[in-house]
Amino acid sequence: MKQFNELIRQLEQHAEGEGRVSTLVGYFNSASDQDTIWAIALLTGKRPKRVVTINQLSIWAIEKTGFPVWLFKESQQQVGDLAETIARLLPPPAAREEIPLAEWIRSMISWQASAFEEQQECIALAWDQLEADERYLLNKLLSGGFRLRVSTVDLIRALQEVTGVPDHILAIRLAEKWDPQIMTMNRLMRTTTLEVDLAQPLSFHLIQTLKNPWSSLGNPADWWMEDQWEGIPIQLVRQDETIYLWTVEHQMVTSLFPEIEEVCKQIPEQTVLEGILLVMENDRPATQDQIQYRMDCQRVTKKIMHDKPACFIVHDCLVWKGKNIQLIPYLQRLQHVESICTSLDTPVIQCTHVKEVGSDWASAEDHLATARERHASGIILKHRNGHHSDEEISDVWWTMKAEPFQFDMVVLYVESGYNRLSGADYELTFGLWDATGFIPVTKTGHGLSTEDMDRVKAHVKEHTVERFGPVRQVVPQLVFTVQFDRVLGSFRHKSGITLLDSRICEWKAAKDVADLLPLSELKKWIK
Amino acid sequence: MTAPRDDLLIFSPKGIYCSAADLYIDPWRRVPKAVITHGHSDHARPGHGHYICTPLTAPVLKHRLGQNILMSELPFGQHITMNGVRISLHPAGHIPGSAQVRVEYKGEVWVVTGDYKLHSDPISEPFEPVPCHTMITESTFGLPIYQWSDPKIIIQDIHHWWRECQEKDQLAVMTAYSLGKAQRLIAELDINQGPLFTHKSIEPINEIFRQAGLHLPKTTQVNERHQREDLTGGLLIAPPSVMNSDWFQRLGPISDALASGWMSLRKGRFRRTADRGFALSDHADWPGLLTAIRESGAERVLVTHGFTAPFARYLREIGLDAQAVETRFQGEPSPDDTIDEDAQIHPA
Repeated sequence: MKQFNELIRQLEQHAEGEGRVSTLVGYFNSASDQDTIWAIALLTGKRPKRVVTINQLSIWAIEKTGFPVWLFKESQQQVGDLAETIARLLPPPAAREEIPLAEWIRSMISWQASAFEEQQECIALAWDQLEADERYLLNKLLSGGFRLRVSTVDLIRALQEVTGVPDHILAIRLAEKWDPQIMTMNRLMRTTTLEVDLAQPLSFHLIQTLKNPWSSLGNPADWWMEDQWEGIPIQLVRQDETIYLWTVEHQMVTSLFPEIEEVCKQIPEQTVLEGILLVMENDRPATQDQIQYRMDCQRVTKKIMHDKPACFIVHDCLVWKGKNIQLIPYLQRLQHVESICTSLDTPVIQCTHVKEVGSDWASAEDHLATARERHASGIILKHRNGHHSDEEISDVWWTMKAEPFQFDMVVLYVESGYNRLSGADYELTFGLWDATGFIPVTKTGHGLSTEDMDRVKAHVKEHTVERFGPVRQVVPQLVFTVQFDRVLGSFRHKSGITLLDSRICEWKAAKDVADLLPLSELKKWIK
Repeated sequence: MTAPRDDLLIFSPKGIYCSAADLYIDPWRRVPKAVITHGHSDHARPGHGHYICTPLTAPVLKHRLGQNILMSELPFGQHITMNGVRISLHPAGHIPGSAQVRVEYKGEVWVVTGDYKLHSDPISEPFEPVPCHTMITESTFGLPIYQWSDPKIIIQDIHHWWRECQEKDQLAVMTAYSLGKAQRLIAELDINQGPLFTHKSIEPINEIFRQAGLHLPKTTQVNERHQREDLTGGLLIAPPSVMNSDWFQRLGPISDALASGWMSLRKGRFRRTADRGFALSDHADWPGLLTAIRESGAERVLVTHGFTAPFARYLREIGLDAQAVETRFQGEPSPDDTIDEDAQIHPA
């Protein structure tokens, strides 16, 4: 337990990154295999079942120490955590004994079925064998409150360094269902049963932003175009009747999207598809933070899958029935994508909509201009004969970002002071009028130039109407053009809308407040 | 809350007062005559007319409060008598020279503990139980969650951390209060592991203790001219107040640690005021407080600074006449509180 206690102390000291990896490496190198298995299990959320409640432990601790209940409560107030209060209230260990983590957990599991009195006796004895910090960990494990986690990325890096097993295999092993009670290190780290070449993602195709004019790409008839989505690039690997979803960072996220796993049984064995994973909200692609929200959920419940269903937009096929087809022309690969998606016939996995540019670049320009209406962030151009390449510079895929939306609005409130979230010194609240007067629409400090900031300061000085802490309500006179990427409907905002990534574009000196378009005009942009 | 008027010692607005002898003990306002238990700034304040303290505390007070203060030394075990009141000082074990004050008048004995600890350290005179009728005790760590591990183990942990720093080529920086904790660390650490460096607010106190005959291993005062390379492999002891200074930032890759009783709780360690926290305290823990009270034989206990209310309540429940009183003593400063008056007198 001493080693595990030290591991926890060091992990808590290093919040993330290098420090955590080297701490884990140190532990894996020195701990026994059985302890390592349990440490991996605990740090990835595989906890043994609770033996007793923390309140029961408190009662036993009060009984054992003989302290009055009020003193226990005073102490708890000072400590803040019951498991720690108990650990510290008990006298120093009368029979200190070093027992390894795995053995403690074995004992704990055996206590689960014991009679109440027997449990009390065993636990009282255990307290006498452990130092206060170790006791704290035991109390946490006994009461099911052990919650420290390390990221799988850090864990995999550490295990790779210690065992030499490739990271993609470790990712699979850790994501699999396994029981630490019967698992051994050799089995957990096995590499044999897998065909390594397909068990890891292939390189993702990188896309460059097109900065030169369209004509620099040559003949428009050679090019095809599709929408670009703000989602997570994913490779879907079908192998051994199993589905693996890989991110660019080699994270396996299959378990986060059970609805995709479910519909993939029709995909031919030994196939790799590439695409963008979106989370839908009201039949529209949700924002990045909504995707992150869903990925951060500890448990994927039915409600989450219903409210924020996943949608995988497939745009390429890299391996088809065991054959690597990365080097065949793009249009041929696309046919495979289309045939797979058609056979699946599900809204969860869709083929990307691809269109020919045709004889004139004007159609591409049109497509880009209307991208926002389709909730896309831009368009991607692909050469009909291009292959799927992992080279840094590829001239067969290009992207163009759509122009942001913009709207003229007036400054209603000014808040000074550095905002750590946005990194801006001033935050301006912009509004538009409707039947009842001016309504706040969006708040941003991004894009405010130094001259504009001086202008705002001068305006605040002369035209403050009221103060609310750091916020000044000003006379609605200053008009700016505000840019944003999307307009979403919102029940929480008075205006009924929320703007995504709004930023200040320019000061409209000549524009009078009276000439501003009303809020109802902006609302029309909700699609 | 003040004790009844006819008590030998009362809690007046200026501090603990003995009217029969007309003197104060560790007063917080200016008074004509003060007995000082030890040199920490919440106990030894400037401006009194006459200071009475142990011979080891005397040069510390002069260093901190000015060479011209009027002072009498009262060695441990000796006594002075004023208006029939017999006053003597007894080791408190808190820091070198720290004393409990025994006051006897017409057969009644009171003891003011000042700050104290029962665990021994290499330089402080060990705590001595003083039999008395009434004890005025501190209760900085007066909750049963505070039970110190053997200081030897903590010192081992510190050495282990120092070794890690050496391996990672980080400078180990231990923040400690310049009077007491700093010297205790210097005395406890093994200079075979590497050189000890000190901040300039610490070295004058080291000198005072060395001249008084205490054994402190060699330390080198760090100054502006020292480069990072000069400090390689060493351990620097500095007051907490310099932690945010430019001087500190210039020392390059460091790992800083704090030694304090507050570090025994996880939340103390998690405040992240330092990379590491070691639960090493110069105050008595819960068992220590209870032992001291039991060994004094006191029937009545007045509890000053710390967890006064719960501690006094517990004492009442085990059959003592105990009461919490309000004072201006602070006990062990919490790690959040980085003001060390010593360092302010001698800024980095």
